[in-house]
Amino acid sequence: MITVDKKAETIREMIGQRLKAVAVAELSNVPVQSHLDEDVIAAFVEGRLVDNECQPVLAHLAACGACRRASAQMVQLENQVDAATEVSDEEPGRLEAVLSRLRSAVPSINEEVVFAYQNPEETRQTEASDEAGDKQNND
Amino acid sequence: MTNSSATKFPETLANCAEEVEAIYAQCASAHPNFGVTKEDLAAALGTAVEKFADCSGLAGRRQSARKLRTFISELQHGDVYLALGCARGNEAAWWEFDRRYRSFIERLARHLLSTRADADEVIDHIYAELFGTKVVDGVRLSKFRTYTGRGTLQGWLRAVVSNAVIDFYRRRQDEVSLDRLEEIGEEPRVRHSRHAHAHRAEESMLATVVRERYRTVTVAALDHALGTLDDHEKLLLLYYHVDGLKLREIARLVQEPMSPIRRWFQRRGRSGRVHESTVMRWLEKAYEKVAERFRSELGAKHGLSAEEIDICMSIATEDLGHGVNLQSMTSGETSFTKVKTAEGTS
Repeated sequence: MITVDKKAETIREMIGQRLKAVAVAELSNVPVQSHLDEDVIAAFVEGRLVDNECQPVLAHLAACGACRRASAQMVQLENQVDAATEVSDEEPGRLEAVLSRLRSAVPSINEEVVFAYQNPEETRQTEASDEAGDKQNND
Repeated sequence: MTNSSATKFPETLANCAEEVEAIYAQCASAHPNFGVTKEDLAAALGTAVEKFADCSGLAGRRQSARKLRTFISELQHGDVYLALGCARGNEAAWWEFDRRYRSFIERLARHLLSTRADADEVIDHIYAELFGTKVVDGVRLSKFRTYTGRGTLQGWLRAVVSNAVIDFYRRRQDEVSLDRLEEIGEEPRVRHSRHAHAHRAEESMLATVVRERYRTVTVAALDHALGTLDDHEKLLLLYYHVDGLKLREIARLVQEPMSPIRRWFQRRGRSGRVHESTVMRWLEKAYEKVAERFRSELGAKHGLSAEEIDICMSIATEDLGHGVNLQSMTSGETSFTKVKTAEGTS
């Protein structure tokens, strides 16, 4: 006869094993095209969805191992990496080079894009410096 | 989101013109040089409404105007505005994005990848995707277009980086991953044969045929019991047993007052910190529910006695990997998955 504690432990183990077995089978059964996108997964993990929005997401996550793992990783990453969000003050030369390279990879299109680099802080400083220079010259 | 400033104001937002105006004024006053027009912002908000309309009760109802206003007010306006500027290729917007999030993206990539060179490769790939190097119908396909502002831009980026890392491994280790997948798939069968071999000597009273019968009904009853759980209970069990989330991580996931899982477990909407022991209690409840339905199914449907049910439970942990019936344990498609298919994102 199995004791009550042993029964509870067996049930837990049984459930865990079965869920893992089903998860392995899922890997090859869920169509790739039907996954949740980053926008929905992020909103779910952040608790932004209302009940009506959430129900289909819960149903999908309960059925789709890939999306569930993605959402689980979001949670783990939030704990491991988000502790402090630094703001980068690095000079913009690197970004300019990146954008320049990316633009050159894009076929020519008629975009209403401002390609001249604009750093508002830098612009303000330059303007202030110019004004000071003008004032000195006038004096 | 759109690159064209000539976009018409979406019909879905007809009742919220004032709200959109106010949101735009606020965003534009903070960042007048992002090159984003009011029409751009309205189109982006309209896209968010359309994406979530089916599930938010925003469509086709009398109260939809009020719900629509609430929905729009909950979006991350500043983040959407920044994403729009970046989607347009505006350098001031990109500079702001890079200043705010580059170090975050780098830390995530370096955390997930073993070498700095791999991380840098993934970061380059992410920036290319965000900028969009493909042009379709004269429009550059920036990844920023898929961000609707329902969650924060930082949360969205976390998902983007995580997916980019998965794609990176998939590209680099495709064959290895497939081999590993097969190994994982084989594992329960290998374990079963080892287990079965040991048990053959010890448990001679159970003939193979009888064991097989018990195993079959055990799997059927357990699948039935698991299939009767609500989605939030099933998800909780899966996060814990399959995805390896720790109790404190699940607790953190449900800590948000708006957290979906928490709302399902605590209908009265208590606020404050969720302790790990609370999550454990929820798990225990789910176990009890499964156990009760499992026993009931074995007794009522399969006519097993209490002793036989004990036998089922004693062999239950040996091998439950055979005869996986996904249909009995999963729900149908969601409107969000359709959205994704329509957008063609990966």
